[in-house]
Amino acid sequence: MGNIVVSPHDKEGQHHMMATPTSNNPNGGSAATAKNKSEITVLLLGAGESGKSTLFKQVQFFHGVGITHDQERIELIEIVRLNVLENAKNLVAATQHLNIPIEQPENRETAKLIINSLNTNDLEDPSWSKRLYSLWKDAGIQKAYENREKFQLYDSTEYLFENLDRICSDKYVPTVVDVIRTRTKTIGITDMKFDVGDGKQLRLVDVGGQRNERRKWIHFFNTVDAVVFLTSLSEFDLNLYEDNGYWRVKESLRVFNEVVNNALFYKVPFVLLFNKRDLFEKKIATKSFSKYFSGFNEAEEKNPVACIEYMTKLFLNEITEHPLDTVSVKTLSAIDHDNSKQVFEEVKQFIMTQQHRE
Amino acid sequence: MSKNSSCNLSAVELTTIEAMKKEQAASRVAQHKEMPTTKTMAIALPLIFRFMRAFFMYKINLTKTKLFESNTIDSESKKHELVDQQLTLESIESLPPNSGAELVITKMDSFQVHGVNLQEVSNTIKGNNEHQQPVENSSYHSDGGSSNRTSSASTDDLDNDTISTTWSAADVKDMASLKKEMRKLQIYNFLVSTKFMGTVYLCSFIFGFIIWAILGGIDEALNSNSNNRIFVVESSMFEFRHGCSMTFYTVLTIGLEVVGYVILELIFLALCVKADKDTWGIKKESFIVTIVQLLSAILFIICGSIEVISELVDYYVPYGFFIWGYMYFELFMCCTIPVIRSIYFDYTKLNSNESNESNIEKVLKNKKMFKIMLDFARRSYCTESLQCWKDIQRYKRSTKNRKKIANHILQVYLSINSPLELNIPKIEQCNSEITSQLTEKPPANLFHKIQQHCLIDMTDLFERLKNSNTEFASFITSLKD
Repeated sequence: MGNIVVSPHDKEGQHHMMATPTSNNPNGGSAATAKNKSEITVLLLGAGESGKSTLFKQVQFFHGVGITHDQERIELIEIVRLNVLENAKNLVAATQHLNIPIEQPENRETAKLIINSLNTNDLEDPSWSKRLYSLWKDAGIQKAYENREKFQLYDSTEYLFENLDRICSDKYVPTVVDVIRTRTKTIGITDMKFDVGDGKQLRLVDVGGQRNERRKWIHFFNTVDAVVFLTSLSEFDLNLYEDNGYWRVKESLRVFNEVVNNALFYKVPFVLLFNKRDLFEKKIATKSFSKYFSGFNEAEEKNPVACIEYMTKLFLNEITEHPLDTVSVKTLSAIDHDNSKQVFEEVKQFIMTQQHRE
Repeated sequence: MSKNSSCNLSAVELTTIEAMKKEQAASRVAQHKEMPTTKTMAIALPLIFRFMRAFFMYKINLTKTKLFESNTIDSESKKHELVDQQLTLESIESLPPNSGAELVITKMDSFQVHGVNLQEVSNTIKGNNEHQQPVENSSYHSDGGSSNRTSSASTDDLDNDTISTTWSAADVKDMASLKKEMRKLQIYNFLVSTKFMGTVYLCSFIFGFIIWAILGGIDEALNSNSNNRIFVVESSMFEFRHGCSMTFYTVLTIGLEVVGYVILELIFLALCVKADKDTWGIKKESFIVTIVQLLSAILFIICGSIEVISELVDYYVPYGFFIWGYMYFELFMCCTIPVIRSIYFDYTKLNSNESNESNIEKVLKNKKMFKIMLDFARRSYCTESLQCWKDIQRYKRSTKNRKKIANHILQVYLSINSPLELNIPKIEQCNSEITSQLTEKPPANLFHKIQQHCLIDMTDLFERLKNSNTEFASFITSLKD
């Protein structure tokens, strides 16, 4: 399959893609340009905030790379705190935008500081833990949080605010869960390699998902052995980060259509992962699923299995070119370590057997 | 003795030749002008206090961190820590050589509190436990405490067994030892307080005054009519119109007092050497002052024993000025320098607040690091944030070409489907908002939000680079210091 030797990028002659910096293998750039069969390149694709990097981090983690060591996670303190600040900022901005007043005067004071001057170093002070928590518990902020589909907010907001006492301590060392939960927007393309037995190496490629980032995907399309496409189940009530008037599901479907029907992937095993199953199940308990999908039977809207089945059909309907027998569909909860380990193992098996068949 | 010396000092201060001659004529017996020595004792006091402060502050920190640990951390680890202490005290030698260095570490604190020098032990352990050097500053210290707990979890079973068996025994000691530590802390705190120091100054003043009054009184009472006074020559000690010369007995009294002060100073000097924390440079400064003090005392004594100087030169340039010089030097070191230092601190703090730069910004402003990062970004297909940041910098610096650069930025980074489009929400809206503000003389902060956005976007790239490029990583570490 697809023994294309040179990628468009290699023609430029300077840095072939193998030189894409990997966190586990900083000197990985010296390998041959020609694609050897012992290496399987798997692309993680999907729209923004579908969980590509979360899965990537999980895979790194259970291969003992990166965040397994305390010392490396200490480096991430700032990122976790930055997440807290951005969440707080977004929430405060949302209260203004949605005309919800923050009720307590002292919380209003905190909100002002957050918008104007607070930086991550300030969060080392435990007193900020109390102030931010009190802000979080403010009726105004909670109301904005309930209406979070109307603005952009990370999925980890609640988790981070509930763990403030740890995060704002001067002894804080991020836990693995903290690192998995933090959101860092991926820009560009990054990859990692690890052994999968049989003398084979799997190269997992993580990419940024926003519209402008997607243009960069093309650099990798030629060398791909498998595609894992992620889409978030819980985005049915959300709009895009890039364009706040555009429904995320529509965007996901569009991107999926482009990718799955791409001629370059015609012979490549394709995995569709419905991510954020945990969040989704929580969400449909309180929000109407059928409101967003006119073709969906309203009576079934509290049944996650039926909902996921419906979503699956929706996505599979987009496939016009790709042979259906090389497409696999799974659900995933990428923040759950065991679940992602299991699902990724299945994905790996699927890809390997598909390759073998060939 | 301050009063005492002021009486004597007037001889030096009022260097009217008249007074001089009068005095010289009066005092053949005692030619030594000992009053500067008197002053030496008084001026030894600030130095002693400085040493004391440095030492006790260090002790307070040491005690506090231990208390802090046992107070805030859950009771289990408190027990753990106490057990550690106990274990070490009892069985430091009997422990297996690699049985969790964490035990030894905590013990070391307690050893040092008890005044036992365990420096050698700590040196051998340093290799294994970089974090756990025991007698660092407080934050470092508590850090060591926390890693104690984590490392103990990973030590072998044998070790854990030892600990669990002694837990019950440690429980009993718990409260008593805590109270003891608290009391100790209170004492230390009192010793470094201004209250204590003020009291000592006042006492020594009163003490000097009393000596003067008693000795003068004795002199007056015994020999008011004759000239055979015990302590001063010819004149009375209560004579304020001119100076007086001292006899051997006065010198002896003063000498005894001086010896007392010198001993005190030496004791605290030795203690101060033990304190290994020198945050405010108190130790360093005090050592310099001590050396100058010693030098001026030596010079004073030498000059006093050279006849030409003590007899002739002294009338024009008193060699007591050596001591005076020392006093001014000390004043400079103890008052002027701290003031300058604190002004400087405030100043730098203010400055760093003004340009509250993140590490990423510092990296980007370093030419070499920027190059490394740009190269890395190119290989990761995300140079747009870096280039945009750089162009905005260029925009801010430029005065003439601002409009041109602004248009370039809008076109290249803030237009949909441009090859270097930024990953930013509502990019068209951003573009039109900025375009509307684009006058002939656009403000420097026009792109502020965009630049901040670029910085945030780079965090991911920045972390990745940090993990893969050692030169880059070491640059970041150097920024932290």
